[in-house]
Amino acid sequence: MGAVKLQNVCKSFGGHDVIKDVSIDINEGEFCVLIGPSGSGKSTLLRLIAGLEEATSGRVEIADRDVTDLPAKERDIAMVFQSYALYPQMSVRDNMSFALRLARRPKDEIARKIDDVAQMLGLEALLDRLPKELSGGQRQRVAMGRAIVRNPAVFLFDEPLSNLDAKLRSQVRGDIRDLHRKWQTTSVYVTHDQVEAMTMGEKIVVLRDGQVEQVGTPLELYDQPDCVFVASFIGSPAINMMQARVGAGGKTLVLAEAEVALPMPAGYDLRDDQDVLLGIRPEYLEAVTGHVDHALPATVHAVESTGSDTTVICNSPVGQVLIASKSRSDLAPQQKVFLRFTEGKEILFDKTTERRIVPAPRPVSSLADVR
Amino acid sequence: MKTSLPLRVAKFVVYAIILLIFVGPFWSIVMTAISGVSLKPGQLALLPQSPTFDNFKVAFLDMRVWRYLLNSMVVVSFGTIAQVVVSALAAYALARKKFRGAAIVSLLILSTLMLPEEVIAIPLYLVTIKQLPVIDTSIYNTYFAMILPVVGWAFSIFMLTEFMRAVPKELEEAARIDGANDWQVFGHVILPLIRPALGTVLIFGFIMIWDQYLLPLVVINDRDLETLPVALASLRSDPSITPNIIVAATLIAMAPSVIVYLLLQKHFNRGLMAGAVKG
Ligand SMILES: Nc1ncnc2c1ncn2[C@@H]1O[C@H](COP(=O)(O)OP(=O)(O)OP(=O)(O)O)[C@@H](O)[C@H]1O
Ligand SMILES: [Mg+2]
Repeated sequence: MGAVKLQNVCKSFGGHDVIKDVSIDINEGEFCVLIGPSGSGKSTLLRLIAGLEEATSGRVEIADRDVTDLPAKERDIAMVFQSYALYPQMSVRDNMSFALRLARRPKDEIARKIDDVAQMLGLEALLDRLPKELSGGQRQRVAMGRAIVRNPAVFLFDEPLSNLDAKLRSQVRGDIRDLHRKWQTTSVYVTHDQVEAMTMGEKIVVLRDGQVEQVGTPLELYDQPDCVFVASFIGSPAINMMQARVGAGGKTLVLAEAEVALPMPAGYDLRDDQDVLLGIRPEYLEAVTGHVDHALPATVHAVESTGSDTTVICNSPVGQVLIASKSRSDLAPQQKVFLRFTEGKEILFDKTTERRIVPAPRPVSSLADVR
Repeated sequence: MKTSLPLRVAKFVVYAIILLIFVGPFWSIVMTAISGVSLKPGQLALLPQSPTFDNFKVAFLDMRVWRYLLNSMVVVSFGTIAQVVVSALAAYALARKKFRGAAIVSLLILSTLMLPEEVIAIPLYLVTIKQLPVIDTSIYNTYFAMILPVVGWAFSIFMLTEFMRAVPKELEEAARIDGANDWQVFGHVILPLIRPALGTVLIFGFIMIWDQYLLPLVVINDRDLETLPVALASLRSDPSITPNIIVAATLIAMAPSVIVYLLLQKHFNRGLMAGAVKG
């Protein structure tokens, strides 16, 4: 078991900076998810932790040990690759025992460990098969087994579920979570799937162009995104972003194209005519058919339902807007509707910096009232 | 689909001619070798005349083909093994190691394929005849002189390099994380996965070394160390030896190549297939 600490880590490939001054603290036993769009440097960062790439500058610590200059085999880590990277010529048993055999562990100890892990992962019947005789899900399990047998200080996962079908993916997602709950081994998990990140991560690190955009728990990222990028990246269906301007006296938010003024959410003290971006999650919008005040007029474009969730796609003067709800919708395309904002759920961003404008905390008196 | 008669006849004729071109010479070599009637130099038999195996006996014992065969065997077995070992190690470095001047090393190796061996014959002679420091003797006129020059062969190095490049990098990385050092990665991961290619390189290397003619001619000056190709050539230029015997000796010289190919053939074909549909 061990904490992972990255300090001002940089990595460039032939003059091209891929990781730019990244510092992350991952506590002992934590399940940390690295997420970001393709090419943002997630795999590179993971490989830096693994020791498969050498940092151009900065420091990597695992379990309070400076491992910056240590090769992979001395870092006490195990990694599950996206392609699983099972040794094709070795049986499942030999794949799982390879590290132990290299470490010259006693035969009976190896056999015992393999049996334990095989039983835990339901691989007993497959131990003598070759990787090519396994299904994708079974291969994935063997790759996990190979990592678990080692009992390392840190588990590293690079998109381990991306080759599985949707149903298997959610099942294995649960399995990994359960395993982590049981073993409490520090884990770093790379994914570009925000559902995986939200459901598995205790801590999520959002990467963009080799830089950390935000670190936080899933709900922190969802409710208090630091910037437009994080707000748009986290959440499905994606957050709605609209251009707005602060109205006279800072009392309203004007959606100019729609000629609508919304009441200014509490806690913001903005100057008149300031340009902002208004973000609102799809579940905090409601489509009503009759006219209401402070609502955005729109036309229904399409209704998508998965049975449990319904997404209504609307065209409005400020662009396409998504509405999500748990209840079924009887709206039909081309229907005129008004979109009502749930009070206090708006998230405001500065138009030029795209950083979130943090509202003042609620007055102390109201906290006292709650008590 | 039914083909018309003239077309079938034409096909038959073409195939027959091709067959004749390929099998004809071999047929007449075999027929000559088992003919009891001596032929004049330059003559070959088309049908066996009083068949006998005496020619083989004469060639093998009286003409001392056994000795040349032995020499060839020694050179080819040590040479092939050394060649495959050296090629595999060189290929691993070229395929997987980043080092300064890797491109230049590659180019140098490649350039050895561009020089005709006639060009290097004299330098080779000069090198082999040099007194070496520690052992205080030259390798001229020894088996070493025939083995060392063929140990590094660009063809097999490049062939193995390509196969090693095709081994997914992640396998090697997984092994490193599992605690393997360079040799263990090489032995446990890379070599088992390119085994088919090793078989192919082994066959090509065997045939290449078996067929060496100029090299032994240049570095050997002792009839007892001559390999088959050289010895056969001098037999041929001896007017007192009939074609029957020379041809019998030639057949003996061909046998090992054929046997090795047949033994490794399964491996060889499977190797080419496995490379094509990597799972
Ligand atoms: N060995 C390398 N040499 C040069 N450039 C590299 C190398 N490895 C990665 N890169 C570059 O670094 C950047 C980040 O790559 P990385 O694989 O870390 O992205 P990622 O976030 O894992 O993306 P994905 O979601 O597609 O896997 C990319 O622009 C890539 O081209
Ligand atoms: Mg990646």
